[in-house]
Amino acid sequence: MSKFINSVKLGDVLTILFFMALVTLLFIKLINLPTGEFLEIETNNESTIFNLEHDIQKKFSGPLGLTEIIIHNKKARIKESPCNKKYCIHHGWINKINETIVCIPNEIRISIIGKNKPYDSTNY
Amino acid sequence: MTQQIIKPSQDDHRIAKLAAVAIILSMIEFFFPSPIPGVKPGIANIITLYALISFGFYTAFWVSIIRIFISSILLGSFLSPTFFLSFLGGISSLLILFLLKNFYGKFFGVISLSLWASFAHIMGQFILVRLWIVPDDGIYTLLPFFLLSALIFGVINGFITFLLLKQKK
Repeated sequence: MSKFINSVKLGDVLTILFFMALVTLLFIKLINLPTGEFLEIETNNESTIFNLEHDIQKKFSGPLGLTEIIIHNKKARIKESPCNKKYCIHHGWINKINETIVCIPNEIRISIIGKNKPYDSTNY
Repeated sequence: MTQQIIKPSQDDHRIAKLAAVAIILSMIEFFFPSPIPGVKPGIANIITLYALISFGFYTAFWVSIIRIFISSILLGSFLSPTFFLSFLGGISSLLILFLLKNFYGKFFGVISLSLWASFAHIMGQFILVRLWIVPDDGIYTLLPFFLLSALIFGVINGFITFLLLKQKK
């Protein structure tokens, strides 16, 4: 072990510190992401956009049945879903731009978007 | 009729041996369940690093390339997205190792080389993922987690390489 400590160079310490700083910075940036203004709900190849200012509680139909989506306090989540694993429900609330919940079995995708819809190369 | 005899040099033998070990490490890693999807320790890169330090860049380059091709053929992922991901990751880390190899022993130790290689690996893969596999800005959310894993496994792999090099002496 002492041999290892002797072999450590200045560059090693600087590299480790640099990458630690980089990772910390990215995590801080991740936590402080801007919150979005609208919720886009995509079902049956149709997309509907709701304003996060107004609370709603609505059901959308998919291949398995009805999925219930709630907007409350500028946040959105999936409350009820007929799928087996309920990953979409366990995801919880989303309110930051680009945050997305997908329910693959019931073919529903909801995502938060900002004032200007970001360029989306998948749909383009 | 001309007869050509290809005589493998000592270098070739060494590359083959090291590549074989690296392929086995890749296999072990593949069959071990990963706790977080997309995060792998990359233990095969220990061999690349060891080859670079002990025998030079030429050996490390071929060990890494052979390992990527053969393990993908053995696992059935040759020319699939998985293969291109590991290929681009391998190329990026070789590139950074090529740039940094002259600083080894002076300014950088094993840990630095390992860390830079693992970060280059992740960044190369990430650029490919963003451009081709998941063309959506949403994946930037995952970047800090991947870089954190690169930091942790970079240090661990670097330490293991150090132990290997010490044993050789």
